[in-house]
Amino acid sequence: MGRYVRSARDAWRAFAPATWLGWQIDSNWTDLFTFSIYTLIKPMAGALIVVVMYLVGTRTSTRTDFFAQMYTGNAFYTYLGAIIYGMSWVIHEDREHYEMIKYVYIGTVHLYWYLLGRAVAKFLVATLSVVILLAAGKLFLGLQLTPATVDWAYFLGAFLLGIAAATGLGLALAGAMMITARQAEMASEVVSGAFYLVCGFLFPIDVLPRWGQAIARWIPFTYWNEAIKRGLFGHGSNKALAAMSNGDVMTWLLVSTAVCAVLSFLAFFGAESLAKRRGLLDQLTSY
Amino acid sequence: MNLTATGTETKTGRPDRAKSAATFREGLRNNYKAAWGRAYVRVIGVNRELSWVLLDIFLPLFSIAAYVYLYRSMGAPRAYDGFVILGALMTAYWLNVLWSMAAQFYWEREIGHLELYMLAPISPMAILFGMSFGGIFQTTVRAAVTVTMGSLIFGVRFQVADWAGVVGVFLLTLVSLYGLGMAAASLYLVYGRNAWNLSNLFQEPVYLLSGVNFPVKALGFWVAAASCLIPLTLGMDALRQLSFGDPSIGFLPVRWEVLGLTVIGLLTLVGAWAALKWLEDLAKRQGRLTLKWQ
Repeated sequence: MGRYVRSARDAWRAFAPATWLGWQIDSNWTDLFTFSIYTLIKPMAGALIVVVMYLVGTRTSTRTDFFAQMYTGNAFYTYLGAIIYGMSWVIHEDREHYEMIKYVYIGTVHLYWYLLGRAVAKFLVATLSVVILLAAGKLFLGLQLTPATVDWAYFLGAFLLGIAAATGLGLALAGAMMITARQAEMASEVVSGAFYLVCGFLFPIDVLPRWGQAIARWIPFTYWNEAIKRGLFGHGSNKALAAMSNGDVMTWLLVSTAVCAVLSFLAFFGAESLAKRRGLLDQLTSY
Repeated sequence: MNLTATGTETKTGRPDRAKSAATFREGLRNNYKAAWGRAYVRVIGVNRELSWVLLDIFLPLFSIAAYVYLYRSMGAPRAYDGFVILGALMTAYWLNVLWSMAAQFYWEREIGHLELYMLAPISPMAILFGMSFGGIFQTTVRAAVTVTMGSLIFGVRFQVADWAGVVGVFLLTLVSLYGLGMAAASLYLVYGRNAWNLSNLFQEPVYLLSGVNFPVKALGFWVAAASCLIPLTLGMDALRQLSFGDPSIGFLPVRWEVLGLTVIGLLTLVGAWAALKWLEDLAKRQGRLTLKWQ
């Protein structure tokens, strides 16, 4: 028992400072005001692009269900970009830019806890953006989202599962980064870009070709997106998933997240082992 | 006894003009070699790094597909698919300007190349010209593949009546964009990690203001007018009008936009030269030219 307590304490000793360090690295390049503006402008501009596209494409008001689904989907996608891309970038940044990954690695706690801590910092910055986006949508764009009617338990359960899946995937890509120069960064961008396309964040997966819909059904983030929207609005956005009950969607999300997590851990530890055998842990590629 | 600028003794006491001309020619040759040398890496890199090639070609296809499907799910006219394709083409150049021009000196400093550029008997402008040429070549090859694939996949038809106009506006837009990139590269000399964040910041907001995926006039007169300070806005708007044969989707007449692009192009090139001189001096005095990990 004492051994487990000591392990947990050690893990916390890596996790907590990593979270703090991640926050510092992501935010300490400027003062709080500039950081807030920066954190606000980037996602807001991204959201406004789809808002203007919506207005140009439909020539209707933003007080529609389609708009609400599109806007919130786009907002929650922020988490995927931040966590999946951010976690793999940590390896590259700490290895080649700050040249300190070797010191983390030779510490008493596994690198895994350090990466999780850094993911929390990415999660916090993304949360700030998403909250601002939803608030701005509600206040200025007539977003049809009523907190009183939200199924909070369902929403939070789905939300946490999706974040777990994103973290697992980020971990797998961090592993890939350990054995490559910088190519895993591209893999992260491709993976998150593919999710943006096929998981229905912007539009229902019904408009995708059949093979696209088939791919979407294998990805946890399709169910994450659907479950979040069901939690927030009482119904989802995809006709292709309309026959599934809320419980079915949650079950699929749970199962696919579990599979994703197991595969991600295997990929991460496999890549880490390979990196150690080949002496790549502290490689400097200048790439 | 008199000495020339190069320290050569002359019999007449007047500057040795032949020697000066030779020095000038040598300087030109050195700068040409430096520019070509810097461009060569990018030109030859087009087919050397498969991962970059795949990323540059296929990643934009994801966003093209996402935005095309978004328009289709709304029931928007099919011509809007073409706006997205055209937007993806110009976005590729904007990204290249941000990350491979503006932020490039930051990377060069991190890996130790910047000090070599400063030590060499060349103007840093030659390096910037080389980076621009290489960047344009590299981006053109990849963007052409992306746009061709995107157009074929989504069945986009362009209705170009004036190819010369399209090519002219396109080249003028590139001059303005890369002029801006050269000017920004100098600014980035004095920044550390801010360069990263600045480049990040100039992505989505510029896509929004430039109307990359929609006619810029949808932003309203004043916002669209202010956006015309960004060369991408003028270039995109003119190209959209010329490529789809529909002046009604434009914010300004094409000839005004050509004039605007010409003025911005000239200003940014001169501005790049002045900013480089000033900020290089500032960076030297502040000891930032070789400062890493900040």
